[in-house]
Amino acid sequence: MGADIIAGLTAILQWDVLLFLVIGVALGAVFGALPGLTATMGVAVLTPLTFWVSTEKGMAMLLGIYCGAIPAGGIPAILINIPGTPASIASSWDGYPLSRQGKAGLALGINAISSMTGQLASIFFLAVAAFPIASFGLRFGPAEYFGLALFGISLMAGVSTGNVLKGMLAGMLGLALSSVGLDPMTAYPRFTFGMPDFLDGIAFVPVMIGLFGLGEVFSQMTERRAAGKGGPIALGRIWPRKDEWKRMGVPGVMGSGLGTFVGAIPAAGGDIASVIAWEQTRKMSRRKEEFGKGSVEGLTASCGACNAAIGGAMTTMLTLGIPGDAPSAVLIGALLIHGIQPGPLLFRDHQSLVFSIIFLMAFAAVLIAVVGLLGARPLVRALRVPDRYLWAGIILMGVVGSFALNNTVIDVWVMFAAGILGFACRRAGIPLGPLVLGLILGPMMEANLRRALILSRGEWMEVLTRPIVASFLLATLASLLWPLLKRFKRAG
Amino acid sequence: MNRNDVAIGGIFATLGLSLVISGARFPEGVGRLPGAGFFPMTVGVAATLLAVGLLVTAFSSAVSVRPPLHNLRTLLMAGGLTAAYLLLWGYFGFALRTIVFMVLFLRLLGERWRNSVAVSAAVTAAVVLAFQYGLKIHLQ
Repeated sequence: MGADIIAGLTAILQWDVLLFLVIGVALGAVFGALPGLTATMGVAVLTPLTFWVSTEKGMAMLLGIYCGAIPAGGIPAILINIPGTPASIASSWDGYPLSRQGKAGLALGINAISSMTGQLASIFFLAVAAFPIASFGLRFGPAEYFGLALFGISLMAGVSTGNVLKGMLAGMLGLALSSVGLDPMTAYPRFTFGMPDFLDGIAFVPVMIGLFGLGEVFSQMTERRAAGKGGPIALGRIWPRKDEWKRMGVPGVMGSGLGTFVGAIPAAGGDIASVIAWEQTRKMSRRKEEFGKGSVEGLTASCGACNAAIGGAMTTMLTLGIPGDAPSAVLIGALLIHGIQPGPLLFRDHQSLVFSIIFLMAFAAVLIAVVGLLGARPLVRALRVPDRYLWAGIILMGVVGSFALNNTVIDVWVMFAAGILGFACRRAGIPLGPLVLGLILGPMMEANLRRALILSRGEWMEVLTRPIVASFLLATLASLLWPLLKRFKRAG
Repeated sequence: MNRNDVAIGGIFATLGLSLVISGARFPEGVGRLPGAGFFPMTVGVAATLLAVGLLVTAFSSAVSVRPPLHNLRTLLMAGGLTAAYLLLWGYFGFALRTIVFMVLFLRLLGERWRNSVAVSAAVTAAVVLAFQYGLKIHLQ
């Protein structure tokens, strides 16, 4: 393993790879800091830019965007009370009041420091826990993979905000879309409507650009912003004082721990992690009354947790191939394009690549903290870019990026259709996460179920009663029934 | 009655049933093994059942409060403009078509002529430089 660690580090310690990491972190910071642009959108829209570079450079840029966008999402949450990404929603609860008290610099400093410690703690967890989890995953056969995929989709639907039934229906829509193209076992064309372009199925990248890019632009056009861009903001000092460092200790540890744990649960991303961490820290704090009014502890816990969720989500994604949150769901598609197939085999066959990913994430965590501490002033100015410029830019990037995938205009139309679908789903309160997960996991689910049935000569019971499969099925049932039971209990 | 969810349930029930019907037309599997239609049919059945569940709850639940839809005309025009831009793909050259699209898009959203033209030209030039010259992609 020592040789793999050195090989992984050597592969990324090249000036051009590090340059792509810096570019990724900078772009991630812009996507995170601008309200309306999210980490998911950043990874989706900018993936085509990495098609023509080596795997290491592509990974460096994409991981930089992911690791850079989440901490930067806290900047508008703190300065103008609009979370830059959903994960930073709890950061505004104490960050914005601190800004109102003239301590915007301190709040941004706490955001940068807590984000870095949260990310580094969760990356350490990834480095330590991923190999045992992956070696357990190596025991999986086709039946177990089918059970795992089913469980992943059910979790995503179960914990989605809003109606559980709508979440499950979104997952079904994703599965239905994944069945377009040649049947994986018999190569029979399905739902291609005689169009050869669809024989390979619906390309995933244009769909995600449409759902998270164009669809979001259309949604924002129909919403009137409640808060304005605000006037000049006084930053004040950025570095915390000694007593503030002391107050940040326990909440930092709690935020990092809870964030990593919650992030590792499929579908429970940084937004849930930060809210849970904020609430738990408030319960334990001696200064409960300060929470929501500019508490250093509250801000530390929420910023640490939403960033620690990154390492947790990446652990589940890399070891089992199940994304922990929406950005990592999109990242799976991007990594597949670079020939990286997340799952247990990655840890058996490409250990040095795993270490490259871990080191890249660690570098990105440090880099974004430096950007957060040194670049607060320019980022404050960047918040004043008018929405219409951003919208035009996103549409153009979406069109060009989708076309660049295969040099075919059909992908651009797929992106446009996905944009309309994304807008309609947002309006109807249908979560997009299960839809994307269904689209990603559908082929894996179908192929593995049918392979398992071939191995068992068509005996369903032999497939479903295998211990790990049965555990996944029970967990699937529990994850689907739990929210429904809670709802009936509340109604009754 | 939640009309919003009734409509969603109706759409998904139709989608589910059409998946079942289409899947039934695909070739059957050999022996007891499932064929090409097995997965779409299973998804179709599940979607139909879930849609019926949504319909049942929608009829018994309160009226939903949907977020207000502002700027519908602007949205439709922006969507139409984007569709027209895609329909004209391959005509007039990428740079000219993109500049015209962006100028009209920004004007639609209230930007001044001078700023619209300047921003559109700058962004298009950046995209052409990055993709056409940097990444060697032939943008039509």
